[in-house]
Amino acid sequence: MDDPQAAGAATLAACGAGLSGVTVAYGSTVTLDIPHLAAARGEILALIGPSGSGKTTALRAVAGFVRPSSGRIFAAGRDITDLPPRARGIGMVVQSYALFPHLSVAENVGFGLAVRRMPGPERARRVAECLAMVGMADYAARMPRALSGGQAQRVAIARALAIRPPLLLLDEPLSALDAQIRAQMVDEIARLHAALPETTILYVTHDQTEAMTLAHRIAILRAGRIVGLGAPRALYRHPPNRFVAEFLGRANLLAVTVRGGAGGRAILDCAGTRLDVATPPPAEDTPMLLCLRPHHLTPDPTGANRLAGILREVRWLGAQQVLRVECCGTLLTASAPAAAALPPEGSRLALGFAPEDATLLAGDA
Amino acid sequence: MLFTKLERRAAIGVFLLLFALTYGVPYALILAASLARSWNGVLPSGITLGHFAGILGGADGAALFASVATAAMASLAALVLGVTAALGARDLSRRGRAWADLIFFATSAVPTVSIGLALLVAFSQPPVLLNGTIAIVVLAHALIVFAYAYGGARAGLAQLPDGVEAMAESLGAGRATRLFRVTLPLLMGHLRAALALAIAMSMGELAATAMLYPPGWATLPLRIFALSDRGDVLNAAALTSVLAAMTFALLAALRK
Repeated sequence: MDDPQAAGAATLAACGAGLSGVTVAYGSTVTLDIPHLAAARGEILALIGPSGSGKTTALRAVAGFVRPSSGRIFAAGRDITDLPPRARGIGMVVQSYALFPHLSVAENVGFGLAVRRMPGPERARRVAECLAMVGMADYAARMPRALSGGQAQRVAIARALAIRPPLLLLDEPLSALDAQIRAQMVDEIARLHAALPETTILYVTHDQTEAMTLAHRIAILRAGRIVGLGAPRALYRHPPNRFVAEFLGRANLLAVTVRGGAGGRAILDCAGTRLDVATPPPAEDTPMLLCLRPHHLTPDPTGANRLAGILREVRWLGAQQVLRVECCGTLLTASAPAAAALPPEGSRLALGFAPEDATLLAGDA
Repeated sequence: MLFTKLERRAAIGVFLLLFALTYGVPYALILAASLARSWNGVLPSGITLGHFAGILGGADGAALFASVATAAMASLAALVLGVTAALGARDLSRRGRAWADLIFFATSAVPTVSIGLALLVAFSQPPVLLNGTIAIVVLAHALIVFAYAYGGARAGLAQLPDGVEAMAESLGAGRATRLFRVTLPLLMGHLRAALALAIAMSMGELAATAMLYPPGWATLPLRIFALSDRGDVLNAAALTSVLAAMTFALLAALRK
């Protein structure tokens, strides 16, 4: 095919969910611009990004509540761009649960089935099955106002799953829950997906821990565009740009200059300190940013990469200690085991890192 | 604590006093008059239920039926139109909504006698000849109470739980299913309150009805006015008591 967008669309038609050349604009303001994004069948693809990055707009476009200005949207192999939300057959769970307050738990879960005119006995069986799946079988007769936040979200998930959607959209589903319940629900969703491996999930969240725990891949959005896409581990270990590095986990960014290198190793200069990084070297004298995760920086190093500094602050967090060390004019964050003996604040302390644990980023990214 | 026990009791006392002066005393006087055999001095003399004798038949009974029937038909019509208008206004732009509110609430600001006159002028000649029919009375009442129905529906729609209509749609519900299985059931509290208010307003309407009512369709307020106009105050008081009791009963029924 000559038209790349058409070629992309052809690939997307085989995916669990996909967007091809999708833009959403309000007047002259473009809030979403996704040239190509596809989730394989059965994949959990997390869309994360700061507020206003367009992640919810993307999800609402897939659900049919936002009409794209251009592009095509696919779900379970169908082009659904021109279908109304009711004809898309997509399950959706939102932050506010949006349970029908005048219907019981069982009626909520059976709503989509009743709309599809499923016979009563079969519907009752499916409702019971879905409620059992989320551990809410004993709550079928309750009204939504009598449920806790976690229970309400379980019911909302059961309701979305009851119609057996090939694609499930989760829009910040755990944001309204407290930390403990949220952690439980993350496990719950992972377990549910293991039980329904054919279901594709698009998971919008601002919580990177949820995304990294659940998702097979993460798409990071900024100002309506995808600025990072990949497996959580790869994105975390080797972020493609400064935004991703800082958004996904904590990152120390050091201004460095390329001094040379060969064979997949780059030699860098950081305020007079020579550093060795396992990455193909960019052109000599290029100003770059060196991304180092806090847990990759270790005090009193023995390896080649040694950043001399002054320990400014130590915070004890129970399982570990967080150090703030001034190196090369930059305040770096590092971590050390809880039992590690550290010098007093204000003392000299060197930090080190393995060449494989550092990522070079473009200086202006 | 914002108020002490004493302050709270004092506030409740003042409220009860004001309520008694503004509502209690007039209604007590009307009730006393409706039960009085005669009232020529400061206080009524003698007790009788004779003033209520005609309420189940004759002109008084017919007036009671006309009032209840007019209020019920007009309020239900206003409710259907008000909900439709509110649903339509919801989809407008902010400016469009402001205009819709201005237009739809305007009927509550126009004197009812003007509405009566307008209908009289509009429907006294072909092609639509309604003058002298019950329909024109119902139409006038529907217009008069329309703003309450519209306002109730608008308030209810504004307070719908976040996302439930969209969720119904994503679960496969079409527009009608969404409206009848989600939106309207969730509006029911507001609609009942709007209907109660509309019925109360309609039951007490006099000016427009006086201009439009056909023979045999005099409502209770018209009958009360006619009785008091010819000096039959005690019978007028009895009908007023019935009107108030009937309105209260309807409101109580709608509150359930």
